[in-house]
Amino acid sequence: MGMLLEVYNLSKSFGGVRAVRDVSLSMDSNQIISIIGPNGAGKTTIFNLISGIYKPDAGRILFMGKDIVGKPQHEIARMGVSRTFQNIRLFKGLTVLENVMTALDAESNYSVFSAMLGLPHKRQIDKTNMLRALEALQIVGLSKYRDEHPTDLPYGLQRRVELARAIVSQPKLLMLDEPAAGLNPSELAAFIGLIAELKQRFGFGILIIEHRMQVVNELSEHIYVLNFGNLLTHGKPQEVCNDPEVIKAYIGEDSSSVTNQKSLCQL
Amino acid sequence: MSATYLSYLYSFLIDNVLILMIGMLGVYVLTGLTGMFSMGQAAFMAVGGYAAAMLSKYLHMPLLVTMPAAVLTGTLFGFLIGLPAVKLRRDYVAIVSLGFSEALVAFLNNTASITGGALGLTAVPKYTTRPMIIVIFVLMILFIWNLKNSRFGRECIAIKSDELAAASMGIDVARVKLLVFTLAGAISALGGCLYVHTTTYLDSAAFGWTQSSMWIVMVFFGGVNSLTGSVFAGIVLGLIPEIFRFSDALRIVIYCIIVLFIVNFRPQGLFGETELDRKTIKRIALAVGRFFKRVFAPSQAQEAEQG
Repeated sequence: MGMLLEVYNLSKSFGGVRAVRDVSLSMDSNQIISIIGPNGAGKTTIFNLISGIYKPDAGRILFMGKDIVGKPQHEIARMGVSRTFQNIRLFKGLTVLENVMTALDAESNYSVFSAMLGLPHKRQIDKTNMLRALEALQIVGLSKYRDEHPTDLPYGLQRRVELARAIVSQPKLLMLDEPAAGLNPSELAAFIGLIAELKQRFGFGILIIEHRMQVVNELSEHIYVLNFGNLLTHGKPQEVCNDPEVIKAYIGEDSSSVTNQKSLCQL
Repeated sequence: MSATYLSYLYSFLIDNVLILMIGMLGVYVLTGLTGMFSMGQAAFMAVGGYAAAMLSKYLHMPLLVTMPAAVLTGTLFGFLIGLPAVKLRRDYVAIVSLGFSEALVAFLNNTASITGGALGLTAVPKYTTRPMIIVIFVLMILFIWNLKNSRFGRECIAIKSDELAAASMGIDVARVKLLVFTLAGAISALGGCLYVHTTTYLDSAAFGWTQSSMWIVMVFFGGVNSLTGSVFAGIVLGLIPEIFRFSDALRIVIYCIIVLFIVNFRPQGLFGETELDRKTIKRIALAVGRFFKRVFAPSQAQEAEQG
């Protein structure tokens, strides 16, 4: 049994833009790994490659030892890879609870006929799923919003609905794309606590894309830094945020003065 | 309004409006729930209608045979048209289905020896009764209501809202779409079977794109996600041309104005996403009760509110 996720020499171009070049990374269960880098560094592209939205031009992606390159999105999801999106993608027309339940619906096996006739085993499966969805909502603290429509909720709560939807199926790999964007400092602290608690409770591997260094430094055991599609460096938070190359990528070439005084650890 | 007029409206409602609305229920599943536009859904009704008509007219089969046969034919055609359609983007689905419906009408017109062509097929046995139509209609609504409140309903709405996110929830988008296309074909074909056994007459002109687009209007008029809204809209819009029959030339104008008003001032449809379920009815009843209290016994109502 290998690692949870192994990525080897992944590359992807869009027209002339080489969004991801020769990136390799690996992670294990019960681990939080972060990918950081300036805007346009190819972080979200890596997520999209892993979750099967794009097909890589080159490279291999092994999930629990199995090659998942070329598999359709829904199959990868059913293997236990779940994610949230940078720009929230909740389903309009479904309540908060129903949104969370959609992540379980793909697994429930009743036929369209039992659905139309409302047969007992259909109701049994739906009830079990509803209870699981409620539990996930409770974990993220949204139980009382179960019958609201997500579009009526404030931004921060919508993010948490997405999180509930991503964890309800108890995935093996959870990918969070800028989960802390737009949160205020107290929400941020609560969010960091929540993610740490989730890892403790479910033991899944968590891959985070984030700009807020506070999140990255406090949560992750290992950080990968991307710049212009290339892997700049990787290592423990302390090593990475003191790395002059990383600081240059973040703050710019002409920042020798800044480099001397500050590291990204304090940002 | 005389009693004969009312009884005429009643028979019109059942023989024309309800039967055509079974075809609309196919559009509700396809367009309302899943967001795929079918500009040729009436062709599936024609498929069911012709299957039932020919089996009963030429082979003298009873309804117990023609109805399953019609549904099966609709299922088959829905599946076949769905196969290419589900791989396409939304707008192209509309074109594929429109092409299918126009091709089918042309085919029917050119095979006059069996289908009657443009002259139509007459003297099809009348098998249906009004109570029977009502029962089938109500059953279909119940089935679709259950479908909406199941994993399939949620998957359909998820796909309509965001295909990419739906796929990342593990939903097999193409498979669900194909299923919906097939199911919609079956439902509309059932409507076609009832239609032909009620009117005893069938011609290809009745199933052109005008009928299909009428159904889309009904679904949007009622509110895309709302089954009860679509049914309500179907009944109202179906009856309007008859109610305004006295002003013959104006009735289409009145119809269009009503639709325009809704589209302009309530783009989410009459019911929006709300269903007329027990909870909503209770809420409306309470609101109406409060209103009447205020109108007929203002002082008491005030006391009650203060107390």
